[in-house]
Amino acid sequence: MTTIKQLGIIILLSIGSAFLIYNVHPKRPALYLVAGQLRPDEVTLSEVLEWTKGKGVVWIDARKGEDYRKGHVEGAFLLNEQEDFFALLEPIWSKIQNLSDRPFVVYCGSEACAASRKVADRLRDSVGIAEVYILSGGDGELRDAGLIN
Amino acid sequence: MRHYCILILLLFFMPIMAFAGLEFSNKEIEITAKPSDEVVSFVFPFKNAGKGSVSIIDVNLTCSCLSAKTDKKSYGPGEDGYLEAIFSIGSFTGIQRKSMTMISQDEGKEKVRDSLLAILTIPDVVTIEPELIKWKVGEDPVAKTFTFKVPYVDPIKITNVSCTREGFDVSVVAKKEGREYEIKIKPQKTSKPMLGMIKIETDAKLKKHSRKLAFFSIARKRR
Repeated sequence: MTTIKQLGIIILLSIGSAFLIYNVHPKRPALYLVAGQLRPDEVTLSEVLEWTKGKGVVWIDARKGEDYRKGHVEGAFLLNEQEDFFALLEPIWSKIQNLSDRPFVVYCGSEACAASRKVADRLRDSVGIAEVYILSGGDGELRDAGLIN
Repeated sequence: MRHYCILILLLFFMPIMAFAGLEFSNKEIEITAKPSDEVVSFVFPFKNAGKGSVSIIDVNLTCSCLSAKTDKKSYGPGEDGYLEAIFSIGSFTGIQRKSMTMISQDEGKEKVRDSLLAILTIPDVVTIEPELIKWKVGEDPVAKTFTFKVPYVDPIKITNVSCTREGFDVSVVAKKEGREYEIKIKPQKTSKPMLGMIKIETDAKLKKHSRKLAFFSIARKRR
């Protein structure tokens, strides 16, 4: 019985200290994803739509080719990781290189899709695009807004 | 003493109870791709070690470069099966570790999640360092260099180099024919931001290495 009591005390102490730290720590993370707590390179659709009123944005579709061909944001370019990124980039380069002063917005198939981040990192680090952002909410947001059929 | 025994028995049997059903002979597979491979298949064999039939509910993948399927949807007691995961190499290089979770369910029991790991080593055929050359707006328009190396067993020669932008001087110097080259690029001026690409054509027999790309930019200074 002593062992069980000791285990219970350890668990209670752990929960207590975790609760205390969570409540007093100045940089505690959010327990769930909420608007306004995006990473520095993530943007919401409403922000992007504001940008489109100015010089415009370059949409990058990081989903699979078959999803892109079923429907994508008007003018979006297909660039993903599961096909050859550079083989996809080369034929569209003449357009891309002349649009590099605009913000690039990458979207993929879901809220947690890692493909957007990988494509964004490549555009920034390997290609040299200065402003690359990831659309929060993925293609679901775009469908809800009627930008993808 | 009796409590200790119960605790030890519980600790011993809980994992067995949780994982009764499908048993994988190997949950981690490591493969080295051939330079010519476009896709690589990882096969995870398993056996239904439980007493009831097991249904495959889903396979969660962590990379869009993977697709996976089992040979059947349901497995009877003692039946063997496998999960095949296909890795599309695309432009991946180096060592790639991709995990996936197979969700199965014994009849009338809780769902079971099996985590599997595919480790793929993709050998370098050609390397270009750096991937990106940068100048700042207003910086001295000095020449900068890409180094093209061939670690692959067969030598690969550069046959042509072209630039997508005018106003840049590009030259190639063979340090060791078929093995190492220097590609020098020099802007005539750096007065405005610009992005460009160098296309490097080679005599590589492997199609995906017959043309390589490198990038350069003239970027605004950060305020």
